[in-house]
Amino acid sequence: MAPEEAAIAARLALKPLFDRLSALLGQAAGILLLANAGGDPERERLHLISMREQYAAAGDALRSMTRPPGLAASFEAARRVLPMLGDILTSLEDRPTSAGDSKALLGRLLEARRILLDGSAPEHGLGLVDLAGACCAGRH
Amino acid sequence: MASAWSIWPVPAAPGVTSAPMADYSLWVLEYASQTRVPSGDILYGSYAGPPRRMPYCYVVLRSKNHVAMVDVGYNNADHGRSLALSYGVEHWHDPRRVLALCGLRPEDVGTVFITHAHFDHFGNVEAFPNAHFHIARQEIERSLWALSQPERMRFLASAIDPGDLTRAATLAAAGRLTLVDKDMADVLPGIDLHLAPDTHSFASIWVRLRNDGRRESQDCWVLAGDLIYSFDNIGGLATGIDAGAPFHPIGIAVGSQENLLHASEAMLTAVAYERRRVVPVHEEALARVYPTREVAPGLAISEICLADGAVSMVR
Repeated sequence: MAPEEAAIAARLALKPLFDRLSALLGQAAGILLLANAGGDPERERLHLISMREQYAAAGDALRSMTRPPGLAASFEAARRVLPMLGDILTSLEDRPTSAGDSKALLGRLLEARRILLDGSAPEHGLGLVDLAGACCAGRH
Repeated sequence: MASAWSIWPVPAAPGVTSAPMADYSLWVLEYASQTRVPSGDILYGSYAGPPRRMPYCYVVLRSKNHVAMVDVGYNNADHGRSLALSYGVEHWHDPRRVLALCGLRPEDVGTVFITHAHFDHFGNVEAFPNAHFHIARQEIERSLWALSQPERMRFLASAIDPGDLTRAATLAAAGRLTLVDKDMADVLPGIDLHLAPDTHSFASIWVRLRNDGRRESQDCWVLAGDLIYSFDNIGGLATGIDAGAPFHPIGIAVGSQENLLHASEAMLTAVAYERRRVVPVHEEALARVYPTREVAPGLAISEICLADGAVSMVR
């Protein structure tokens, strides 16, 4: 495979994983938000089941990948964030009961997001926000 | 022309910008801009039209004793590079500089109404440390659902930043977030919130200001969020139920164009079909409709109306 083709293949492999990790962060934050603002515990439980499945799939995808040339920082960010998400998910499943628990969880979520953001590569389509349906979506 | 960046528009209709007993001043503040947006994004399917400039704005409502905003813009540190690189969104300005256009600081803002959970409306809550926020519960719940969908469905999660949800969770933990379940009257005196489900976003909110404080108000304004991008979406600027062109919805929606049309009808009903009273925050023609002071590229203030005794910020 030519180097250019290898780079494209690496990007194609990494993008769905990057997107999924970003989405998992959003789901975790949303669950915590609704819990703090008076959400429905049953819905919360269903969200957590769904998150757990997606987390497992993301782990499988990461394990099947090798560090892609040219996207090492993005890959490293994904590698660091995955276990953080696992811890956050477990904490959510245990249901944070105190304000302190909630605050700590939010701090970990923000840290995970920062790592993923630092590892993003918009020029390769690796970002935290999909802008395809935003009002700015029209390319100039 | 006063300066290279000043535009003096056609005067407003008599009695509109200085309505008797107006409680709030209303300003639209441009904080960034995008130069060439396809017309089909603004008007559903109209890709033959020329590209348009799209300002990015938020709204300030100021009464004698309270400052509220509609939306808070986006966080340039996180998204500026992506937006400039891929979409030509540029000239972002910090809220401190933007709010100074109407003599305010971010710390002065006590209430914020978030019209929808997209990054360019919901992305800078941290800049307003003393504000209490409102957003539709359904907007959050369905955003969460959208993020759980498989890759092939990711359009549904477009423009949702997981970081915004995290910061909103922080607000909720601090008791600074109200999830809106249904239409709310007088959430602040004279200000009502209306839900528009399945439109541009999962559950957008539009804000109605009854500026004379009356239930049957003669001085209503509507802050439309992204339910319309332009006056062209509601048939132009004519006044009257049968005046103007047919409605033409925006081109970007996770809900339906039908629901966007119903939302347009509801907003126009609220202002007795005086179309200039439905304020679109991505409208390039704001400076031609309302008195406007343009300070720099991506930095401008449009004065929609003034409270009794308030001083103009554009003259």
